[in-house]
Amino acid sequence: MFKYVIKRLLLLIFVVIGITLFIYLILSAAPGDPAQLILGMDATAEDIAALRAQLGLDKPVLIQYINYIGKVLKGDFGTSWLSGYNVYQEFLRRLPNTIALGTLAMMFAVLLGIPLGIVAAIRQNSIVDYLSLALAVILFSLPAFWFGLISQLFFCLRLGWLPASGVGTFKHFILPALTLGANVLASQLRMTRTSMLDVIKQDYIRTARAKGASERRVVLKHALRNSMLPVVTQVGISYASCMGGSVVTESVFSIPGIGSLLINAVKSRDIPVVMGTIIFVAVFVGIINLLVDLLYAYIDPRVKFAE
Amino acid sequence: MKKRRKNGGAVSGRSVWGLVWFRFKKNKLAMAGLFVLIFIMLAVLLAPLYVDYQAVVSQKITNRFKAPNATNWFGTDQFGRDLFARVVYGGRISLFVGLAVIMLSFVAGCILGGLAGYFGGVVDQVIMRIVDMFMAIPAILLSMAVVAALGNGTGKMLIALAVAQTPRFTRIVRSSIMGLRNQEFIEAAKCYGSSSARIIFKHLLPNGMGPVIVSTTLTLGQVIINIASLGFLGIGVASPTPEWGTILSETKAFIRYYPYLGLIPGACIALSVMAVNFIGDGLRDALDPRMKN
Amino acid sequence: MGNKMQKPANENLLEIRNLHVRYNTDEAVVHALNGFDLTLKRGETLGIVGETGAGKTTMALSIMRLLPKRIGEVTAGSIIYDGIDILKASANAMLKLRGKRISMIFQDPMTSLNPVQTVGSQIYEVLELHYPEMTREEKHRRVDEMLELVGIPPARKDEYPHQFSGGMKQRIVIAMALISKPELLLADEPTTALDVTIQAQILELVRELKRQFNTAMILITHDLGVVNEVCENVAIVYGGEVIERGTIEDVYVREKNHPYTEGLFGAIPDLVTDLPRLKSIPGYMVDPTNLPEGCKFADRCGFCTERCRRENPILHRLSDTHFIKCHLFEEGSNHE
Repeated sequence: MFKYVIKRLLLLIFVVIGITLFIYLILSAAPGDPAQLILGMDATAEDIAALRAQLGLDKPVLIQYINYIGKVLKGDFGTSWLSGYNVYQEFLRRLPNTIALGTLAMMFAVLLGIPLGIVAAIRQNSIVDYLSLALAVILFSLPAFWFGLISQLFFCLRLGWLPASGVGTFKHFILPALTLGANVLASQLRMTRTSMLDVIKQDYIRTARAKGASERRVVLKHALRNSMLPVVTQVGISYASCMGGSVVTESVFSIPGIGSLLINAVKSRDIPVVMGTIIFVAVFVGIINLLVDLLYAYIDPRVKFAE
Repeated sequence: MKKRRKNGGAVSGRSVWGLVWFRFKKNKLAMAGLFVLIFIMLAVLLAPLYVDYQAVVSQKITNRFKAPNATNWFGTDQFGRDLFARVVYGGRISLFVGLAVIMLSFVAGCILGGLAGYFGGVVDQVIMRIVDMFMAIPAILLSMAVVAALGNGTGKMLIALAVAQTPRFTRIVRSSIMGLRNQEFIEAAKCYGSSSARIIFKHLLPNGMGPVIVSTTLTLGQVIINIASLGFLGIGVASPTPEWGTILSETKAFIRYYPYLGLIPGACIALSVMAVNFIGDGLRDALDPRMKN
Repeated sequence: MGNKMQKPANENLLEIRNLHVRYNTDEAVVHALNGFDLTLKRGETLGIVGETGAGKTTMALSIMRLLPKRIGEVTAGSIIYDGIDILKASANAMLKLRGKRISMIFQDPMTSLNPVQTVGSQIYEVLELHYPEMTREEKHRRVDEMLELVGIPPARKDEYPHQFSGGMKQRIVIAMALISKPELLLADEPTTALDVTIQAQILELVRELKRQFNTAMILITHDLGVVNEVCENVAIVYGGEVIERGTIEDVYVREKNHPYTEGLFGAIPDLVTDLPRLKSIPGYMVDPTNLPEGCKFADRCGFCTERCRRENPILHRLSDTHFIKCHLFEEGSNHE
């Protein structure tokens, strides 16, 4: 297993290099001179040339990229072109907010979505089932920014129960986590229900019933663990998509996280920040997926790490 | 008593799709979704016939913040523009860019996934490793990165979103084809000397289409949301061109006092996405009836 | 277990009367059983033979009351098991019957074991469910003994199903079914999914254990040869009805048979006589979504008359043990 983990981590490095190379290449191929953008329209030609040299923009793209990656591997993510802050330091400052938001959203979604999905499956075609499915479709169809805006309007501005924006206390995170988790809740619920329905039709469930196991025991002892296999994978995918969704949620609730950093960087084409964010997310997602696969192997004895 | 399960196979196309349509029709939610979607599509498509584009852009400050009424069905915004006209024209972008994104990534996914699944081996390895790479980043972040590189604009956003969705389609098409590749009717086709292209396009793709179609529909919903999200974040369609997300981003400062400004455009997105999702669910149940009962 | 023999109740362990079962699917209503009659004595071994779709598995699932929920529906008839009305028994009463007094072996050993539990724990569960008074050590000892009996080294009980071959999995399923020493074993095509050589071993094992435990057995199969090897009596099923029933001799001597049974025999390759080719039964299995009014075999029968199309025959008695459901065997009429 140790060898497997090492192999996966090595693979992750290649994935990160591949994706960053792709983005770096299209970033540099895009029209417009970043130096001009940074210095503004009234900058002199010499100033621009000097800045270009300073940023390494005068070298061929591939060399630029190799230099960049070399620095990243040493932990140097460069500085923001626009505001001059150290990208790595800024990440460290904002990271806890994004991770807290994502984790809370996942907890909310998993703790509510999986049990609801199980109940919906074993009470298939009942009121509970229909209501859960309706809830899932609604949550899945609501754009997060709208859901966020409306709940902000209602719970913060009208009722005044919760703070509308910013960070600081746990209360600050409640609405953002609900907003971010709504979509995940929907997919967890549906995945669990589908998987449970599928497992319940399997022959080994019939065997368990034929042994004289009660319905409750059949579900808890025989169906649950099997039905969790695809759900676990889904949790990994959802955690990753939370990283994407947090961009929107952070913007609605003015949370100083990685997402809001990225939005400004994208608008101003602040390449070191965009690249840094992508690398961070890719590594984070890669590690989550690795953990999910390890968990999967723990649940399913058929999975072995020998390849 | 074993129920007969047929697996696509050599059944003639018409009867299979006839059966799918028969089952789909029985699903009330899916049919409701279909009608709502057709209604919205027609409403926005035919917009020039009943709404003057001038109403979308012409500002009339004296007329601002009018609540919904007989002349301005959805009220007016902070510049006195008619919200109904903006929403209707905005839908053209939200929905049709969404469709275009889906079509682009669908075609690209079918080609890449078809090649990977059919040839296997090195081709498969190379394509799938690249797909893995792109899948390492959530779709919306990848789109944002591409937008950062290409710059703002509807066309560029379209490409950015399509790039982000293609890996998913590639994966689904490939796994679908992998499942079919070794089945007897493909062997049979190879035996009487069909060419690779013919086998991919005449045999594998049509038979493996079920899951792909379902996922296409469900992805359309997410793409519509993503377009609106980018618009809302100010990196999608640039104002004053109306788009559901952009409209919300412009009016969000005022929804505290004029909630209809926020409720209406958002509801349009939610309604369209919901309709699409119901259709997708209906298709899934119709294509795979084993999931029901 | 000896005490079962001393029970004063009547000697019939199982009586199925006029059982009608249908499946209500989205597309159609499938009439799986249409007046199915069967009696089984204690300790009897009965083979049930019929084509795929004849209703054999439905019958077994009805006895266990494990028909698919919402789809499967018993519309008429009764199943009496040792004085218990299965169709009216409480859910709790059924839990006590299943796995303890009635066990079932399913067709496909590949899918009938839970992939995420060790085989030992799956056998152990039967004791856990039905023998709460037993100590842990005793239960473990019983599991080991049972594994030994079916020819699996007890040391392997902590392995998972995927680590065993198909034949070994079926042995494990058999161990699971017999560890509670049931009075009735329902074996639903237990060897169909296995290689021929393994088939023989498994059948031998079932026969041996059945003898040891004095269990009554219903062996469901489409293979007349298997029945001949294992069973005392045989019932032939067509279109959800028993159309012939008798001892192995009654049926296999081939003097008087239902035309369908004759057809089944004609479809077996014979290694002794040198027939030019196998005879198949013309036509297809009766469509269970659209049953004919008269005899269900009429369409495929060489002896079909007007009457057969009109009127479903009753079970005619040829001897104390031999019964045939066909107008040809009506008293007075001459079959030849």
